[in-house]
Amino acid sequence: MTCIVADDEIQSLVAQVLGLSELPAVDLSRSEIPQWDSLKHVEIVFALEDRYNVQFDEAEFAGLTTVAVIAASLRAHLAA
Amino acid sequence: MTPDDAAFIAGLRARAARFINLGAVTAAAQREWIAHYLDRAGDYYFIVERPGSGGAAQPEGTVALYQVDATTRTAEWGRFVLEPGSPAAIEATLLTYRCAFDTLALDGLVCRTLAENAQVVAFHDSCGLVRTPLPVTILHNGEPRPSIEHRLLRSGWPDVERRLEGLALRLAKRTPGAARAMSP
Repeated sequence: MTCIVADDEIQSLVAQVLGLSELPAVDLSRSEIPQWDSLKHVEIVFALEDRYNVQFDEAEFAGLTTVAVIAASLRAHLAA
Repeated sequence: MTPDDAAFIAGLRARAARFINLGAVTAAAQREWIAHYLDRAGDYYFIVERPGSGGAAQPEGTVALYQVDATTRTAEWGRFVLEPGSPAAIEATLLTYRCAFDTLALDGLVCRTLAENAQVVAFHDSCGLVRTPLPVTILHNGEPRPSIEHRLLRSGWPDVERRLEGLALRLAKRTPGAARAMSP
């Protein structure tokens, strides 16, 4: 079974963890969102893992720099 | 940290130059700085290392506790620089605080961050540190710059430790060798 993850699901998750009042644009870089610090980044990854029952390698963490990249990586994990 | 770390530190600081003082920019100058540092009391400078295969460790950053005051039982923490993309911030911070509160038995820590270094300011907020309400200025390469000061007192340490430890232990499970080092 293929699970399709919509970008707005990831936008909502990221906004919730970061405490943002608006959804971040899918291509907005992490470096452009001050609240997206190192601790929050880990919390975002763990929230994704818990919600979608996947596990990201530590080497993947640094590359998860936008909602669009996160969504693509998540889809790849779910399709594997 | 030893004089043999000079080349790594000089390279690391060059790679992360935007928000830190230039200081000793070459390995030779860094080695000389370290030689003076080793004679300084109340200053603990650490290399953040990633466990490697066969017991080898890879340097990944630096962190320090300095200006340790035995009378007030306080210190500053800083010189916190990690390789770009390193996921070690949480674990390095947890270990630094453990050293401060558990090993050195300090009662409080202070850190000052350039205000424009917004993600590091946010990191300290996220860890649970408390901002000093008054404006703070620090010298950055000789120029006074607006900064944010955070404090962590012993009374706040248990909550911060729980928060960091929960994340650090989950991170450590995916790093061979790290889980043992992080386990309480």
